[in-house]
Amino acid sequence: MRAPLFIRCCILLTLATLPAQARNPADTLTIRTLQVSDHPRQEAQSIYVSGQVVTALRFEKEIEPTKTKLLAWEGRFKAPLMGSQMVVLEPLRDLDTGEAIPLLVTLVDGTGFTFLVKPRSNEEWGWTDYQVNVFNDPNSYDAVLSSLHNALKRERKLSEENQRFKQEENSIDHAYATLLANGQVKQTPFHRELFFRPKNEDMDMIVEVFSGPGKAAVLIHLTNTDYGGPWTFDGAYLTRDFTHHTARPFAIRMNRPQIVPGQSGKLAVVVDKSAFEVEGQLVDLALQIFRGDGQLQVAVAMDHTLVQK
Amino acid sequence: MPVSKPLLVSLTVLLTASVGCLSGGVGLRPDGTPGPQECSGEAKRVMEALKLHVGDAALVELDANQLRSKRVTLYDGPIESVLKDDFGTLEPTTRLYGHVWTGGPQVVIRYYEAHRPGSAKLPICAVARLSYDQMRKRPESKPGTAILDGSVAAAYIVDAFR
Repeated sequence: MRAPLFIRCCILLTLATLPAQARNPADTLTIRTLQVSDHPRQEAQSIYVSGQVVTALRFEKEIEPTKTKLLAWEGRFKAPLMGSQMVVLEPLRDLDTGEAIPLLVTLVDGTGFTFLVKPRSNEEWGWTDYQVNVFNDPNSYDAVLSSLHNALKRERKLSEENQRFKQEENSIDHAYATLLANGQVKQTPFHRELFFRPKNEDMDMIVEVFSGPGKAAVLIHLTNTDYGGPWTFDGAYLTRDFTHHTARPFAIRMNRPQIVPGQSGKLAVVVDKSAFEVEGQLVDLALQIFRGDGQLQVAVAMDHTLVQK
Repeated sequence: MPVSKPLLVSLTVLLTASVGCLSGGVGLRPDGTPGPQECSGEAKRVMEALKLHVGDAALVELDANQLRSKRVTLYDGPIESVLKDDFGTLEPTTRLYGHVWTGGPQVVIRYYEAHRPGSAKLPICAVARLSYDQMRKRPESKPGTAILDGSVAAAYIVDAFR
């Protein structure tokens, strides 16, 4: 059993150095479960990899190294490590978009799996597989436990989202933001104070700043002219000095989740008077909107005088 | 005392110049921007009926001939703008007719009439505005024209042009 022990040590050592190799902090590394069925309609499962990031596939049983191979890996991957219940892949560099390399894995009991090793998708949903737990028998204890953990994770995420929706359901500021984002300015108590067109090469923008009784609002009209792909919203921050220490609450709504080239969208932000108050004094705030690629799309100064008595 | 004819002519020219040039029926300031102008009583009554109050504003495409342009060139003289939003009871696509003055550092546009689709022209008083210097002409603008970055501005209701 000397060889498998050596392989195990190699695998452990490689895994231990893993996070340091991930180049971009925004890369999502995931541990996920794959249920592989024998049904002929089941296509080969995809495994997403990134350059110099180790991806481990874990199986229920020992694998048969002689019948396990990654086709044409030379020059693209370091020699795949195969042994124990694992296959470890490490691309030398990112694969080309659209490239898919077949990986054949055979377990000692003769069960065969086919995977397609692909580059991490650049879409928002894209991720890099850090560990993939592969189960053939959906009723085995490990498979059920793994599915349970997946379900619990999903449930936690959905219940957080549900909680947020419940809070926003009765929020007046969110209701106003929804009206503004849908072009129903007349239905709100807001009054247009100023307009401007921020300069931006990729997106055409018009900013409207509103004043209102006890509240202020900003409506941003966005038109995707030369962004090159769908524009997505990343985050908004309302602060006194562009730092997280002075972040203030606000309500935000967009009339569409993404703006494809040629399309227009509106993003509305409503700020209550309480957000402008610091130790009993009204202060000026700044709103920053960040887009999907992490760049600042627009910054809008929100003067405290916008809040009417 | 007999006054020579050439002297009379030059006096007349001088008097006219000192009163100020007239453009679009408005006296011009020395820098070429229009001076104050009243808003007619009829326009005020019409605006009241249209639920347009002083300070109300809506986005307009500045020139109907240059919609959605990255850069627009405006000329001294009449202009046809198009409403992008509801403005009182005026619906989007309503035309706003006005006059452009490009003489000063910033373009001045005054609107005198609103023309709803399928309806008669209505007298109004409004001006085009943008904050943060955005009605400022680009430096390459030739005399009598004004090049602006972007084709959109906001029309604001006024009760007199100041």
